Amino acid sequence: MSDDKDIDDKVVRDFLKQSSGTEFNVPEDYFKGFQKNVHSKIYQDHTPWWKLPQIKIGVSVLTSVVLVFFVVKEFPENIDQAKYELNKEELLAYFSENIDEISEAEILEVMDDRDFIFPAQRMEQSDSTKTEKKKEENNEIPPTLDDFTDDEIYEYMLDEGYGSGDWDNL
Amino acid sequence: MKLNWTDEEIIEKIQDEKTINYGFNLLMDKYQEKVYWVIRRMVIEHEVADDVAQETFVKVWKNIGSFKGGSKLYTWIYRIATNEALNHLRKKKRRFFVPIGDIEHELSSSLDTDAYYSGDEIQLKLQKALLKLPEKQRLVFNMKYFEEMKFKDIAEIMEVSIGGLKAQFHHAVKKIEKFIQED
Repeated sequence: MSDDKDIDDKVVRDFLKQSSGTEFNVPEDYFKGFQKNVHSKIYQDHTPWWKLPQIKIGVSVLTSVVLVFFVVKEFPENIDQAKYELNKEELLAYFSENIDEISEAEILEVMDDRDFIFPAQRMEQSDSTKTEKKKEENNEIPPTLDDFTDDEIYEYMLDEGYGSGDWDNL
Repeated sequence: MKLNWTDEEIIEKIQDEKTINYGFNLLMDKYQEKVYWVIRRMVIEHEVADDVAQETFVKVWKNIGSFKGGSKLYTWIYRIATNEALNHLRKKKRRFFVPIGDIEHELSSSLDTDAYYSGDEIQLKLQKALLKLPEKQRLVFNMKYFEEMKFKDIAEIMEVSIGGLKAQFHHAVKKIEKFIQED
């Protein structure tokens, strides 16, 4: 101990005896969080820069922004292309099959007014299609007596209830 | 739970890969406050002391594998801490090309404004007197006077002879006495 006591610092010690209380302070609970901060620094020092959480988050955000940009840019073009590629019959068939799963709002959103055919209109359209077919049938040239043999005509007359006497009236 | 771990026990834990983290936490438990206060008395401001103290333990962690037990664990840790504090002050001077007198003035001013300094007039006067000392004399005085370390240990930390160290402490005390008596 003698080596620690051979320097006279009495004046300084006496001077400080006049003082009371602490001098330097630290924030409350500072030392409780100290180890955590040291471990964070060690983790940062040991982690390559591309594996740091800040970098990971940055890259994710940037990727998302780029993806959203392309999706937003391509979306209207995709809709136009889909409209072009799908014909109305296919669309109607698809809607008929999946009508329970598609809401009315979705249908209205996707289809133009002119594309949308209400069921009543579709029935009308169906009826008009039948009439046109009949008209086409009617346009065929009706058969004449020359198209049938005498025996065919005779059989026909008998089936219709004409007697032999009736032949004379023809 | 055991509270008073010896340096040897802590080193043993650190040298085992399975308990290295636990051992390092024990080391910080034991030395974090002592290291902080040595640094704080040198750099004065809490925020700076916090940063330098953290850096000290990061260096301890990085170099603990090379600690062979040639010196005491605590003198080895203190050596890293004091070097970090002195390096910080040197960098500060170099970075801003500030004359030494201005750094003293700056540190002295931060004592007046620091939210985490509540020393009375006597203590403030002593701190301002200390700031007039060369850094190494200030460091010796702080370790001897406030930390109550032995000259032998301080000499080991600073890697100087005990005789040279006593001379530094003697000069420091005389300068402070002069400052106190003059003022």
